[in-house]
Amino acid sequence: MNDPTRLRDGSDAHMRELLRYAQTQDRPSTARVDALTARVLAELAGPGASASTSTSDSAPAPAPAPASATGWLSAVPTRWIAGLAAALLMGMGAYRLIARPVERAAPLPAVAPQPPVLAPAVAPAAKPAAQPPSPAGARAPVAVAPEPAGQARREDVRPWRAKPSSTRARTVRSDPAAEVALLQRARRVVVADPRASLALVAQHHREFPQGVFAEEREALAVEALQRSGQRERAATRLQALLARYPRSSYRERLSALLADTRD
Amino acid sequence: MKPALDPAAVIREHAAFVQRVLRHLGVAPSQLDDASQEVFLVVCRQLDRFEGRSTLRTWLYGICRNVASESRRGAHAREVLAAEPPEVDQPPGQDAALWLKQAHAQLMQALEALDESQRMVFVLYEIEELSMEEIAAALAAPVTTCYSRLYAARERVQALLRRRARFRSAKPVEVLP
Repeated sequence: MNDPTRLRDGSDAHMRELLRYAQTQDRPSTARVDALTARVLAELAGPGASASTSTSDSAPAPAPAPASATGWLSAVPTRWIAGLAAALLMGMGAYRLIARPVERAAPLPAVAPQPPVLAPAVAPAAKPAAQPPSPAGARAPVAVAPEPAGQARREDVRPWRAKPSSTRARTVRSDPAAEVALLQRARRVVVADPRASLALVAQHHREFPQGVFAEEREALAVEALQRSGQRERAATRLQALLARYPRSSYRERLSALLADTRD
Repeated sequence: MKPALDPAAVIREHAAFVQRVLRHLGVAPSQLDDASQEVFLVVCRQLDRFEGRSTLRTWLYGICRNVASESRRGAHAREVLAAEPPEVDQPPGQDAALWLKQAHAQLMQALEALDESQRMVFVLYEIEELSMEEIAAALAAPVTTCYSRLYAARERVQALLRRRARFRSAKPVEVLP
């Protein structure tokens, strides 16, 4: 008997895409597989061999048995950070889908056309928990041109608009977990140090010009501008935000924030 | 005489498969590394006894199932699979990355709603792309039974995904910043 046609080869395009994407999930990074290999081989060689075999793991040699002992786990706390980032991402993603059903369907003439991101292209970014996360401050710099000072004001008005072609190629990243981490940092300091928050918002814009959390970024920018005393720019940026996201759920909150400070 | 398998090569080649299967067997993400290590310890200790009567993945699945059964007794089992997935109605397009991530979360939730026998046939066939014969061997079930489980699983998964898409909206909105 022949096997039935798999859904990933079937007629439902969304299901095909989804199943292909699913195949890329929970795929550990090379470094993680190497660490796993080292741990297993060290375990097989016996406790005495662990220290020399487990090159990618600075934790003490694991106990001989059972393998579920978490001694080495405590040496890799960043895994939990990755899990947290994934959870945050889920929450924010759900929020976005719930809060903006209309905007997403509305045409966005101000935005340069963005090609569909297919599963293979986003696979590395879509599995934050499967990659060894690095501290937010230690992320590798992204190959983007520094933002010219003369564009700063225009950026404030239409920050999501794709820039005209520059002399240096822009690397567009798709890394929602990294986006969330960066915006979380900006949120944490928006009251105490709004200028630092603005800098982080600008960094988000540079690194993720077409990021999936652009609306959240702009809302933060409005608040940071307002709190740093740049009321006109905050108002302008809020207008731009609402022009792109007419039903943004930030509308009332940000409008109230701007009004409160004026009074 | 069959050539000996290199443990390191086996781990590297099958780590992703083992992690996904463990996940679908209900192992919590935070436990995946531990569980994977345990699986490969068993595999490597018995590798010289592997006779090739089944495929390596079929054998791996059996070990995964045993390890997952132990792991699920932990307090953190299914901590993420049980979470409510986000609502999805956005087809791939400009927000393709987000759509895929959230649709994947829904797929995981739909799979979670299946009983394990149906879920694993679906996962092994549709995601891991084992043949029906391999699946039958892995699950120790007749091929015809696996077919019927697959069709039942497909029907339920598709129905659940459709239903979630239909009943999106009308959820309380939380302001982010």
